[in-house]
Amino acid sequence: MIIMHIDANSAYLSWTAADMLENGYDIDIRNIPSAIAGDPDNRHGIILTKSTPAKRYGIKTGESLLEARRKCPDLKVFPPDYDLYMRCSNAMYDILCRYSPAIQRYSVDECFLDYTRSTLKFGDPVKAAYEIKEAVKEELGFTVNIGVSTNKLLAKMASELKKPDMVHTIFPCEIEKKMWPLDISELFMVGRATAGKLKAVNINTIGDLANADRALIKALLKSHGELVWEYANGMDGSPVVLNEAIVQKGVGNSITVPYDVLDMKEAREVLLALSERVGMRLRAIRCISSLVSLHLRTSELWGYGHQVQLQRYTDSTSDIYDIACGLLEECWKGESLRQIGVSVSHLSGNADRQLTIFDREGLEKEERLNKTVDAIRREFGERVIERAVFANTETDPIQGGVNDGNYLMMGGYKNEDLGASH
Amino acid sequence: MKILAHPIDIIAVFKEAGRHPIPYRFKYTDTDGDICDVVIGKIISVDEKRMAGARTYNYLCQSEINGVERQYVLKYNIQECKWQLYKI
Repeated sequence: MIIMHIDANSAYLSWTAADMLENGYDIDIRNIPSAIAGDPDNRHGIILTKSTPAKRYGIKTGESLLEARRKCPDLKVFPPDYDLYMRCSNAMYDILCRYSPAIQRYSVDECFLDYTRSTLKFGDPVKAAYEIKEAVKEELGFTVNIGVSTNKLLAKMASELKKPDMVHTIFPCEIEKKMWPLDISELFMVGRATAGKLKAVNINTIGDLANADRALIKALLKSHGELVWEYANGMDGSPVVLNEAIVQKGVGNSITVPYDVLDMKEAREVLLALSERVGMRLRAIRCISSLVSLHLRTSELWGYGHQVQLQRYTDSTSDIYDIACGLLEECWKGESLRQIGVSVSHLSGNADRQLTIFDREGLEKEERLNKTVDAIRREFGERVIERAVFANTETDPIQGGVNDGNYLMMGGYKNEDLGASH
Repeated sequence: MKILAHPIDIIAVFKEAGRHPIPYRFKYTDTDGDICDVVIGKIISVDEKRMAGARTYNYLCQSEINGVERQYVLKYNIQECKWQLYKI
């Protein structure tokens, strides 16, 4: 098997840079201390990506804009543009499609490409990787790192080696030389917590983990230990899965509110706006759900949640909202809330559903109403029709989602696609 | 040529058999604030581009502007259906 992992270098930033250069901005923001960050007024002011010069100031992804400005007062900050990012991601995917039909879009800026059968047509994989890299740079104006190997894990590790604009290989014979000297935290699926536990037993590099006793690691980290031990030895049997083949297990949306939510009425409004989004997405993938969960994060950044398994299935916005309100009443202790999230899972196809004698009255009517509202929103825009509760208020009637609903950040559906298939 | 990326009013021809629209004449405001009405003299080349994921047609054209023969690039953004005087 030959697998490639293609990873756009500081994706959001370089896509913004390419777009700005194309539109006549005279500075390449990749070469100055710069970052992409959300709007601090809406409390979304965290660094999403930073340029290499900004990295030298010690600015980290995920830290607040305030902290970053303290480290580098000249930092140039730009807002994210998710439409642009989706466009760049799609364009990158289109280029990859020239080389293989088996591509997994792992995230907005990363793809796995199964090159195994393409060797007959395009020849040496490393040569092809260079071609792809140059094509992306030439045609789309941003750089990528490509890792080439025999499985997904090694390809991903290879693409992370040295950035930007490089092609690397970690074939099984090169693991010892290229992967084992790296720090343990560099290994895929080893986060802060796992790295801490491993370092406590003097496992500091990937090589240390690979050469450790598998049983010992399992005793320390349970099944996750076995997984990372296999990864450290370059073992990964997972295939490149086309995104269409991935079964969606849940739908959820959350929002960080611009101001702390303090009373039940406000919280209910946000829940309704989130339930609108979740319900719309659930119906769009033609599923019904029997588990509703609520997640809260307080202004002290402490999070907790609550969920309920239903005796029936639902895809109704009002139903999801009612259940979420019930959950809120049960679990909210009245702290000021910074973030609220609603999600549904235990999905099933909506083609057939078991009716029960406990079903609410008017269920069919509500179903027809939801269907009609969805159709109107698809045709004329999401905000042309909204619940009366939101009339004459500042509250956005539909909340959650980075790209205003039209997002296929990963494995999702585009609204247009759904429109066409209905 | 310098990148200007200036939106313009334009008359273009969409031919039955053509792959892309053909610009015919356009209006733009120059640096002195004067409005120039330019009839496209000749189209030297057309390139389809996809910089930063945006599909565009870039036309390298030549016309007489204020008595001088000048080359410039017009850009048509396919998704947004918008024209720009891109470089001059």
